[in-house]
Amino acid sequence: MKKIILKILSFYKKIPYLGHSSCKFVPTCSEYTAEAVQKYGSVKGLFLGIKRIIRCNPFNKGGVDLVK
Amino acid sequence: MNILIAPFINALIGLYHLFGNFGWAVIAVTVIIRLLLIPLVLPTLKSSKKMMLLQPKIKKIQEEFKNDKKALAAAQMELYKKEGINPLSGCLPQIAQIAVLIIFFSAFNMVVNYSMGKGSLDAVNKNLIPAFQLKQDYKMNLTFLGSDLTKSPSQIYKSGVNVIGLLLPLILLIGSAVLQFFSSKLMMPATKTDQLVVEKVTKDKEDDMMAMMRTQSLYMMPAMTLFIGWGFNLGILLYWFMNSLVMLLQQLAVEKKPMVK
Repeated sequence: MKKIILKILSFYKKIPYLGHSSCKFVPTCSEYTAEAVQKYGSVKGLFLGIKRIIRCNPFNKGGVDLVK
Repeated sequence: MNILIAPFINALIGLYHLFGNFGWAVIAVTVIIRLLLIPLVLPTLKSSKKMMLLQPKIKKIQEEFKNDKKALAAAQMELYKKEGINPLSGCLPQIAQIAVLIIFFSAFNMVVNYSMGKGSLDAVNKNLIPAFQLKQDYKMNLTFLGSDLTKSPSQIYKSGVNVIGLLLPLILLIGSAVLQFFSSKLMMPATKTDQLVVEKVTKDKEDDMMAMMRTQSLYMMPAMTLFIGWGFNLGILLYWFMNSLVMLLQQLAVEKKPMVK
């Protein structure tokens, strides 16, 4: 499961798609999710990733936001 | 009434009544959606341009702080600040765009299903304002430039129509793929110079691999479009084609403007 999620994330990053440069955070949402999944497993990792994407909206200032 | 689908289906049927042709209605709705999305797409286009030019510098920083994630993030942020990269929209609106696409598909399919005799008239009318509602036994005009919008290229091919009948399906299908290819290409024109800088910074084989994968990904999306589009009905392909066309035009418009630092 963990491997599949990480594969999908790395595949996503390779797609030439404009959305990639719209992320307001460092590391980007996909990098963050990959790291969270590696650290906390697929369920909690994905949950943290979704929370991060919700934070990544026009009303957030963005900035450095690492996996805790 | 479905609150999500209603705006789309009203726009589709309303414009259909206006033009008397579903194909033009699809084109108009597509262009309207893309125009409404400009505030989201434009900042992204601009920041992606800057980001692309920064790639060599980012690579350098990544090499420098290989083992310290915190310092790497801070240094990267510093670089973005210095270069004035501020993606206004964020990731959530990007995902919202995909949701818009899915809702448009369901609105479109609702109309197509009804006109193929699969869905009920009530299902469609429930979502429409009174002025746009369709009468019982009303036959919608779903042909566009001589092709049936509810059929897929593969169905048209199998039904054995002549070359002229296959012309529009093929133009839409191959056209979408070609437009996407140029879109992708515009997003990564710096490949060559990028590679040279990378070679200077790190003489890794990994970078060669990455450059190769990037070239592959250039062909991946168009190939996927051809493969999947073959089985999609022409109405969706028409949307796809127009969407790619407007996208490419937007990219070209941003490209032409002088870069503001």
